[in-house]
Amino acid sequence: MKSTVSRGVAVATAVVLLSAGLSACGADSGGDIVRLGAILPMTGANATYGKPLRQAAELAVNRVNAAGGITVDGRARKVELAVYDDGTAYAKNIPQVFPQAVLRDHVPFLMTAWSTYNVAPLLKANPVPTVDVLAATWQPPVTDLDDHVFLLRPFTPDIIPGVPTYMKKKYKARRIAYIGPDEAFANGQLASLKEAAAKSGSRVVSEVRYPADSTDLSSSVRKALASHPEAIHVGGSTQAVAPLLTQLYQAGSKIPVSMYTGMTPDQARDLIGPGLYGRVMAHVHEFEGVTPQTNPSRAAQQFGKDFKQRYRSYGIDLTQWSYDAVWIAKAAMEKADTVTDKEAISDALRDLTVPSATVTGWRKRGGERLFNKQRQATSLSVAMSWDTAHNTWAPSYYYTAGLPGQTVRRADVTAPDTSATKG
Amino acid sequence: MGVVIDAVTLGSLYALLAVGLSLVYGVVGIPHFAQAGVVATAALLMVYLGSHEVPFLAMVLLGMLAAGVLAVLIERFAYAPTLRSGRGAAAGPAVALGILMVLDSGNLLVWGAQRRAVPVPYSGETMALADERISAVRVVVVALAVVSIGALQLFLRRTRTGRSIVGVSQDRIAARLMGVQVRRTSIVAFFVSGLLAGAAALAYGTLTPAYPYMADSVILSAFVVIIIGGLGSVPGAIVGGFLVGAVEVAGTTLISGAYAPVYAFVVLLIVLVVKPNGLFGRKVRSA
Repeated sequence: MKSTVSRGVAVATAVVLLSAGLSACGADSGGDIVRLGAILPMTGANATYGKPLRQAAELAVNRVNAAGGITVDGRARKVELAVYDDGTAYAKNIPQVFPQAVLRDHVPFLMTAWSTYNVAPLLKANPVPTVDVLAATWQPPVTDLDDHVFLLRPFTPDIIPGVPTYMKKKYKARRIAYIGPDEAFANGQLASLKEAAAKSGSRVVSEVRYPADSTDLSSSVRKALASHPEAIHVGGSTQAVAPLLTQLYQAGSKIPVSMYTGMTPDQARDLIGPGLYGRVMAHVHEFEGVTPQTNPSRAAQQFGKDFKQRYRSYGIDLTQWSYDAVWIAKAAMEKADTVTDKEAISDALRDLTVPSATVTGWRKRGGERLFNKQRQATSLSVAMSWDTAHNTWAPSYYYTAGLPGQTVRRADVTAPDTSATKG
Repeated sequence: MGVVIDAVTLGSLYALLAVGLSLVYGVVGIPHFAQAGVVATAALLMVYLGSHEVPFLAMVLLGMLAAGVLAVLIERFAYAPTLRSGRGAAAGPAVALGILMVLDSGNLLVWGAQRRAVPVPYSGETMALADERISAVRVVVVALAVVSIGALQLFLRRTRTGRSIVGVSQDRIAARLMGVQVRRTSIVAFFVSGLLAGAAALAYGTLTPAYPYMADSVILSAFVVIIIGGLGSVPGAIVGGFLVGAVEVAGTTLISGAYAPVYAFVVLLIVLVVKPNGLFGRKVRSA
């Protein structure tokens, strides 16, 4: 009996060692394959975003490989994307997922979304260049947490300052009510909104926050309306604001509403309902980083068409950043002339010029650089109104903002025709 | 006036969720956390049917029926074996949570994580009441609760099967000695709780988009409601539902919405101090 057990243990040990060995072989970035790690929310509340992030990165990986892969030391290597699911439970899952990517699979480059606050502390002991395509909030900026973190996303301070500027310009609205869930992303919007409103001569007249899993938002809506606002900003993600928009409409409000969500026309239809969304969205303005459809860059527009053709879905703003993250990894590794030296790749990222194959239309910093001294990239932001004739967004105001001053500067660009992107 | 409407709407939703839980708890003595999964399944099925041009009434009836069948399957394949093993009190809550996880994951697999509104023809309609504009969605939530709970009360009081459920709920052994078929009664109670979950899915799915985890939080509020009302008491679930709804809305309006779940727990603590078995509760069963 004892020998049977011992034999079983020996076989199991051998299997584990063999699979670990195979795994290490597959992860050998010094070999013919470079494995890029992507820690994404493939399940849980943010799974809606995990899927398009993965799709865009996979599209980029295919194209990088079609273009010859990553050439280092005169040798071309194929790229592979390894996706690790954080389950949208960052505090709980990142301590398990990060070692899988970095210690087991030895990925030389990480792409993250939302989880960077939990990833950053682990980079101290195991530094890996980490490009964050979708930061949770900005207080403090994720780039302050570790100098291997690079922020790609046009984030809250790039976008929210446009809200009071635009609402005052278009509606002469100076009294802004805020409603949003009590969570980091929404609270960051409120902080930025208050600062930007004060700068532009407007003011936040009410701040209504509710628990993220509230059953009914009607009393929060009622409380915000009671402050007699001239504009309303709804904070939070697409999922959080959809019931708010519906209940504002059902309460009879015709006050212009602003939000920063990345909500697509398709999502508006699904979340609000096909019979109602056109009416609900009529007073809503979306503020966000440019999407493939609203981006004046032709490369981004073509990417949007390709993405839609391949995945049959409207490519939202974050798909461009995810797509570009792969090209940025390639450029940094080729500049550093290594696919394994993580410090050298991080150094290359710091000085990286905007790679020509990226599609977002990154604003060049300090000459031709992609990242500024705080390791943050910036692209155009846009205010969009709802096109009631076509049930889609129509860009109406392009601008840039961002830290440290959150100063809004209008960008004089020609908006593409978005009427074909209806939901 | 608007505040009253909000309180009545929220109270109706809580009551609708709580009566189903209370009914099941009364019969099997297990906190039926899996009801959240039944609600989500029904809502997601309604979304699917509605988006495939199935007429509204058929969509609702099929959704409720599916919820009823699902609840019976849960009773047959999860709770009944647990009760037969004699470990219902200890293992019941764990089994219920396990079934909820299975349903959540199953729904995620089948429907995906996308949130979608349950399509109803009245979502854009409003009506005026005392200078207040009221959404038809809210009126329907209240009407659904009144009709469903009214029908449940009639069923429990006027039918032989209903009286059997009440009997089993009061004393399982005595009911068996009186000739009540406890297993059959249990199946019927679960089917009815499923129908109520279907009605709750329609009500809740018009206030918030449907997705696999949509009812996991609200079901906890519904449990607070049934503890306040008295475990296993249907009238207690109704009164508790409206009490919690009113307190949450008043707290949000007068203090802050950020603490909405806390208000219900404050009421729970007060009730438990004053009436440890809840407002309408009997002595809590020990097995």
